[in-house]
Amino acid sequence: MPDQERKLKILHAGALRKPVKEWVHLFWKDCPGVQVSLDCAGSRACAHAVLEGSDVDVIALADPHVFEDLLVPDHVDIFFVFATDRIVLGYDEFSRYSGEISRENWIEVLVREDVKYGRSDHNLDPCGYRTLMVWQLAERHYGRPGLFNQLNQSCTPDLIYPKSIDLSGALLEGKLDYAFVYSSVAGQLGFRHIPLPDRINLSSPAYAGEYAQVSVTVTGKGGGVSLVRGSPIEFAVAIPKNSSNKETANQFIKTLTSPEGEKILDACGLIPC
Amino acid sequence: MAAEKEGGNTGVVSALPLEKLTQPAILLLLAGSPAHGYDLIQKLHQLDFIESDPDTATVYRTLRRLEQEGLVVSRWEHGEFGPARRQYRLTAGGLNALDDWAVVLKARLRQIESLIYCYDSIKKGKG
Repeated sequence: MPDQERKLKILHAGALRKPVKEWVHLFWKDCPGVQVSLDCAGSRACAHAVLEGSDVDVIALADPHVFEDLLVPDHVDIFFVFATDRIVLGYDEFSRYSGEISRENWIEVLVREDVKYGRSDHNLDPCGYRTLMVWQLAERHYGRPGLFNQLNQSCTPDLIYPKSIDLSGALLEGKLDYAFVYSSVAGQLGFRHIPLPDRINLSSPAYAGEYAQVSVTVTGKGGGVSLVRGSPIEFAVAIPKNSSNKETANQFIKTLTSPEGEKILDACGLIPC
Repeated sequence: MAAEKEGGNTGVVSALPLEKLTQPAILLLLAGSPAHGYDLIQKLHQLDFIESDPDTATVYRTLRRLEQEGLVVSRWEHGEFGPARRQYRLTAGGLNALDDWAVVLKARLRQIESLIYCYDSIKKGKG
């Protein structure tokens, strides 16, 4: 293998940090000695890095829509949809009202004046716009007109984090009482969590039609605006056209979609698909 | 309380393992045509013999188990541009498994019909 092929640059969504690290160890069993560098950001920020010419061999994002919206066909041809997840409300034992929050009363707890809950930035991170979609779906599902505005207005800019991993960090540090995160992330970090109904948690293709009735407008780095419609949560991976290590990158994707790679996803709380 | 029991669902029925039909339902759908897990979940949602909504994780795990058992095979399907998804296809072994399911379910159906016949006879006798 030429020297250039002994390197692999992986850019990935923050929510994929744990499985990506474990995939690299699995990959090294078949391809020892390959120098791997990892970088993570919100998925839209990852895509913008590729748009701006970053040298990346593998890009793994938390939403196939980001590929379609920003990278296909100029920077990416094909992207592989490899996992699904769902949004939950994460918290820990020190969160205010942690002893009384439940599936039935989570909205009443969140809207209390002394409760702080956060989300990630919808312009940078799919978990951010998915949270806004969950709030819109909750308004419909629970028949509570005005709920979206109520939740959105109480989640002030200081409670909005660039990517889901920063949001989780804020919850760990006690800066937040509650955070809307992926179920996998909640599991990896040992958070308690309230599962939300499938009709609102963006987990099920069975409700794709209902999810598609809500949308969020996201603004790109250059000021461009995109409308993102609700859809079941999926994660996808691709090799950018300008990768200088395509053979190695392809080997890495084979690793992550192998039965062993899927076991890693499972262990990290994601659902291989 | 006795009146409530006579008039309503006692909860016993919900203990029947109807969710087990997910596996033959997946085999049945794949006997019709190859499909992605995403499509299968949408189709399962529309089947009237699947009582509760299909759980996404259960469907994908069932597909992987069926593949490990050789009842289905998968390959990545994609066009020139856009998403690649794992598409599942029934194998000859999967078709045999579906045949086995049909035999088992028909036998079960006869048992259930016999039970209902006895039940109706008793009700008519009391009437």
